[in-house]
Amino acid sequence: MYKRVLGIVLAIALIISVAACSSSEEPKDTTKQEAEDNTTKQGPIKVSVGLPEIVNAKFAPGEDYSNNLWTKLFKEKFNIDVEVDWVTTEYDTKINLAIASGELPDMFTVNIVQLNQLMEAGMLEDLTSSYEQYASPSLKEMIEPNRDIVETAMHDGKLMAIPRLHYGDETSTSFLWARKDWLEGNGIKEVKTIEDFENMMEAFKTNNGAKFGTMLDKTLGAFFEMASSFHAYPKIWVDGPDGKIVYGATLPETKNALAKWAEWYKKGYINKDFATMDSAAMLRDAYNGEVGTYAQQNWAGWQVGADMVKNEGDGTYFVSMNLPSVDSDKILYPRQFSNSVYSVVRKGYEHPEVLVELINTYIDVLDDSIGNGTMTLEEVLPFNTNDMHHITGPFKVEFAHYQDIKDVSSSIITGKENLGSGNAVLFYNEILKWKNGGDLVGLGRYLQMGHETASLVLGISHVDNDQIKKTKVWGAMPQAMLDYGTTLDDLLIEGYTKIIMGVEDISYYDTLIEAWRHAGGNEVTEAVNKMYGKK
Amino acid sequence: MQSLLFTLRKQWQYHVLLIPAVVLIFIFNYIPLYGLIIAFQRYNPSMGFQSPWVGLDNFTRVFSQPNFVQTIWNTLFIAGFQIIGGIIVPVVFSLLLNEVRKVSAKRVFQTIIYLPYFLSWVILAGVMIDILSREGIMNTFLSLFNIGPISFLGDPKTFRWTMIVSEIWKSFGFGTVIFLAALTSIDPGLYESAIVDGAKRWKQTWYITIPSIMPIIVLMTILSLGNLLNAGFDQIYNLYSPIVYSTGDIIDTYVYRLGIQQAQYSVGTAVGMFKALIAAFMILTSYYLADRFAGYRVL
Repeated sequence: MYKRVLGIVLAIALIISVAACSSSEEPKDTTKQEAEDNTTKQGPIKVSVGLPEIVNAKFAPGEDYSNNLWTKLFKEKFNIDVEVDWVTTEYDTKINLAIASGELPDMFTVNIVQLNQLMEAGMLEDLTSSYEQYASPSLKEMIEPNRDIVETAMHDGKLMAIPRLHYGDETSTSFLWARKDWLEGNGIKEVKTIEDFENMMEAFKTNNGAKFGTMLDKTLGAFFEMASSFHAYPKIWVDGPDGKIVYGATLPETKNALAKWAEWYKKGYINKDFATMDSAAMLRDAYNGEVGTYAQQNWAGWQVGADMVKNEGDGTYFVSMNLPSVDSDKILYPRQFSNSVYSVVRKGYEHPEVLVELINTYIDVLDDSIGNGTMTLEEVLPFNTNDMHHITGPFKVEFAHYQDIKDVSSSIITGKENLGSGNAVLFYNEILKWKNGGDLVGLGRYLQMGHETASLVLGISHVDNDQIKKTKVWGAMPQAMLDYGTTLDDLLIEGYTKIIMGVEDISYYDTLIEAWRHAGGNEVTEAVNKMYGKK
Repeated sequence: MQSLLFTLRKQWQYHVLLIPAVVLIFIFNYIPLYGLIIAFQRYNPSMGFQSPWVGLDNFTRVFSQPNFVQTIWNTLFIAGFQIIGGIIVPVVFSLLLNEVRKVSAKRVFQTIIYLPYFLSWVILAGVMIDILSREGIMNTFLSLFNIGPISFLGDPKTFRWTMIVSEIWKSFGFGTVIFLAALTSIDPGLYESAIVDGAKRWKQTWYITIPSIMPIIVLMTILSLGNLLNAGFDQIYNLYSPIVYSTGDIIDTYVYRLGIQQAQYSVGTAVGMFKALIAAFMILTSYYLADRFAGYRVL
């Protein structure tokens, strides 16, 4: 009996080790074969990609990342076979490992740190001529105005990556969001000064039974979004009084903002548990009708829109307003460097132009096809719903919606349909779903661009009025900054939290900034000035 | 030499049986040791192990961070009490459970206390934040006795005790099962003769039960001492917030914010190596002490 058990154990051990050996050898064989296929046959072009997993993507039955409406379109149009090497939720880590092991897919996306590493190591294919030759007018129209971003994708005068771009400056500003029914009940139209804001919080408490004044969570998100009201820019790098670049947090405006928030905490305007609450816990106070306002970005309607209506009833969703100002001076909104993704081609891949062609197609389908009549709205919709417009990995750009927002909002407000792009048509129809049918699916979009003070409509006016303040670190971060990770900001957030909670007096701010400088703030400031300062 | 050959000839089958395990450990635990050189380089994934050498730069960088020493202390404090509690509580519980006569009740208890061990901290953290909030069940209960409200997760003074107690609560079921197994292996004859000698329950426990499971207790302690610098990343990361950094920030969470998010592998490896060296030292010391004071040895 004993011997038999031993025999079985040994046999299993053998099988496992044999299986491990053979499975590790398999992929090598197939890659060899593929390489041969590519060179010997004049068949379809094969391009392998690695993709981040899009959690909310809903594929049609029988479809997946390697077989879907996009891959079918690419095959049909260019006879290109997109092969998915891997799909992962840990995309950055996976790419780092792929870089280290040298087993890169033909095309993939990287962040700016990885881009710089790959460019230095000469592991990327030059895209300059592919871009010149193949980029469609639409793509060029999107890329050209963003010279500053293109710069970050250049190495020795050659274009090494196609930047994904960003949604546009109008999407980066902050707003005061407040509950619609409470605003109307108290007859509040605008919140111009901090004093107005305090009066509003007071009114919500006395007239509407709110328990707190404003929302805040442990990341201090609402504090940072509202910092502009005090002309403070605690998260970006700005020109200091002596002409050198300094971190916004070190300037006295941040201190003033903190003093105000500490006062609000003392008055009971803020949940005493905020320091341990994540955003979900914070929002629960709103869903329970205990708080009716906070500062947040343009997409807050997706947070406190449909879920508010579901919990508290009709008309309880939040609407956006311009931030109040501590004095009557114009408010500026901080802007971080915002191209986080670059599409690149592995060095040695024969068809770098495929990347440009497929990005062209992406733009064509989503933005141009309805306008130029090659596709109908019904045909485009599947490409743009269920997150299908996020699954293409490297074959993707982010659309700046400046014109779309103008078109959609004026069409909705005036009732005269005047839409220039496919994206605009999609947004417009989404909003109509809410306006005409009360379908909550369209509420978030409605709050972004469906009425006169909708967030992005205000965002457009911020851009038009020159209210965008760009960080001085526009592009890659200096190494010293990367070395400290988030620890320097963490130090500040810990200190801010203590000040707001009254654990430390406001005078502690100066100690805090001194500690920050000592902990590495000085070193980073120097590195920033070396890289971006006036020469 | 002669005797070694002799034993080998006599026991060669057993050594053959060991081979798969040794091979696996060699492949997965020894070969990767090569990667430790990253700790002495400014590692760039695209250059691999050919990255530039920087000597002890990464170590000095981490240790010169003003908060790092504090995080070591926090780690030792939290992990130390978790280890002590993680031995005492299961021992006491297994002794108590052993006295339960009804087998079915014993099984039910055992299962219930074992259950949290299988839950992920990600899930438990969500539950705990709710229970321990200012208006949560815990504070509502305490207010009946006019205590509180206590900010279990938001006060630097209480935070680490919350971490210690909750970790012990979560994992003591596992230890209890091990000690219960050890208890069943005690020769009943010992108790019988003790009863003949007139020993009551307490004396039986003190002079028979505890000495009998002592080797297991020592073994568990030695094994857990290797974790002295692991205060539980999952738990802390899911429960802490900036306000409790001063007492709740441990080495792992600090390094995570320092570098792993930005793929700064060298720093991560340097700290990992530092922790491994300390752990190895702790295990060797405790093994020596166990041999010295409890007469316990593995070899």
